[in-house]
Amino acid sequence: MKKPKKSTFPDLLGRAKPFLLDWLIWSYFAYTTIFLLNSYWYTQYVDWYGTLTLPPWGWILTVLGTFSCALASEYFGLSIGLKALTDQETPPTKPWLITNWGLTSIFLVVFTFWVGWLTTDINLGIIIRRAPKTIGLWHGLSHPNFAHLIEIDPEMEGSILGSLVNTLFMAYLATLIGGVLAAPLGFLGARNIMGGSWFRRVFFYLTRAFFNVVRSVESLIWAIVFAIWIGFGPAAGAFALLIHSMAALAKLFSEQVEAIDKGPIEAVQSTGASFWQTIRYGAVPQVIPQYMAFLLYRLDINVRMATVIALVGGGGIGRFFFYYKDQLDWEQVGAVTIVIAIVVWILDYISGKAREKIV
Amino acid sequence: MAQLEINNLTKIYPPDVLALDDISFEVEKGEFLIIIGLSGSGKSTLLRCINRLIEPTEGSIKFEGQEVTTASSKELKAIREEIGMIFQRFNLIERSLVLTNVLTGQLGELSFWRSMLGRFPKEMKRAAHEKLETVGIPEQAFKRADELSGGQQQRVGIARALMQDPRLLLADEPVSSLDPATSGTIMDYLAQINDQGKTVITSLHFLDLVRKYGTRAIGLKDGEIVYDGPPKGIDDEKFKEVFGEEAEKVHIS
Repeated sequence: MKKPKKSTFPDLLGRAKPFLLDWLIWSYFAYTTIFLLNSYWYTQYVDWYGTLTLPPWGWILTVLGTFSCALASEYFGLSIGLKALTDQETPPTKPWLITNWGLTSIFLVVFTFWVGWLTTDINLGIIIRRAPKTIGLWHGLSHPNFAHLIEIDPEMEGSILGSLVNTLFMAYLATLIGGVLAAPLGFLGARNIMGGSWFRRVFFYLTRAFFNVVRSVESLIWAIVFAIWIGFGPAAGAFALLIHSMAALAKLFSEQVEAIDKGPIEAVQSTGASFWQTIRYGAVPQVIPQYMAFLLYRLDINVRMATVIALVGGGGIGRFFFYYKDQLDWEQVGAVTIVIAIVVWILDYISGKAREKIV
Repeated sequence: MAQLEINNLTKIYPPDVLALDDISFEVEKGEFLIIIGLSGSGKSTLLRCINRLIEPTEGSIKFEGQEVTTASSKELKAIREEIGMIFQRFNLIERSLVLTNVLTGQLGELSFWRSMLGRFPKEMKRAAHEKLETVGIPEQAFKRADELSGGQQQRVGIARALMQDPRLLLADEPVSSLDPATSGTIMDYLAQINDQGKTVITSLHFLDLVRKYGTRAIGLKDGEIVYDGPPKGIDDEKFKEVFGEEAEKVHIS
């Protein structure tokens, strides 16, 4: 093929991006430095915005300082911006640690750790000093009271095992229906399927936006929404898990669809098959094994989520847990905890084995 | 009227890679046309433009009088049903059965619901078995496609194309992934298909195969036609022009 004439214009956009990333990183260094200076100079603890109280000349100094540092960083070897956004390689003779980007990365990690420690107010002394307060809890957990394992607790209107079965069904249902709904959505959210007409592209962006928004809201919060909408109880929990799973699975599915081999699809297309036939015979067989694996993985997560979704009114075995906790009945709390732990452990094991077999 | 008329076909891959440069030629029914050229000369692009797997940038392609480049999706489907294609990497659906792969050749004839549910009519299944027999692997029908050897997989590809009962068969480097002996077998099948009256257009690397099987050869270089005539006409000088100064002939018997 004829190669085009090389453009003689300097690749400005290409060089701007790594520079901007470097500037961002140096600004972060400036922020952490000012934060640390503030917290040690004035008070022991400073809010994150405490660093923003700079005199006017302080702002100019910071901006100029970070700008020049960003410019300079490219001359001391491969900066992080260059490493991340361009294809330039570190000369193999230089060990990773002493390159520019290597050292900068280490400082980033160290400073972040330091600032994080200060802002989250971690105090190791407290862990040791207040340990005796937890004796009641540990005692309860190690001497579980299985009184209501099978016998119905009148206050809870159910037994632990009964509620556990309920919870498992909640998770299964949510995963199954969510998976079925996510399958076509996965195709609608895949770039390679949704190219072509303008209409399809719009649909693609809408679908992707939908996934991202719904996924960002954790199941627990969806449960609050549904608890208000359809009332407290396992149905609310099921809906919450369902809608979150659907979005999460659809996102994973769409990434699978984008990774499929074009060859078989071309082949089916070339025989005169329609769009849907091409998908059904060319694309779907390639993604089914991974779909199954994702479904099982999601089931795991949903079971675990279902055990605590009662916190916000979603029903399930979590009700027992939180009720006994409120009564400070640690022995029964222990019973519920052990039951949950055993069941989740078994399910994890089974799904792990099943996934091994599939992929 | 020639079966295939190509006029001023140009394909530019954005931003500015010129794959095909103003190509024009005609193909009569029943020809065995072989397109030769280096990798990147435009062979695959040319073949894929014929059934519009790739959209041409400019130019016209007429198959049996019908314009392919401006066909509606319904018309395009009908055109594609008459054009079969086999590929260098076989492009089978690996996890599906061999029989299913062959059956996909006639998806165009199947209604929406039947194809979604995979309910192929008995006659179609019988025809599929027949095609597998034609290419010599009837016993592989119920194996998974990726369990077969390369040569067998390509034969499944041929069976799939035959299911369409096409009037034109396109073959994009059908033997490039196969050893010399298997290549011969596959080319023999193509020759058989040609003998039955179907036009065959294929792209190849090896000059020996071109001389043995083709009735006509077109040499492509950098997206342009540099030779168009009988295979015997490619002497050493023409060979160097098509494949470049440094190229040397490799013999495959």
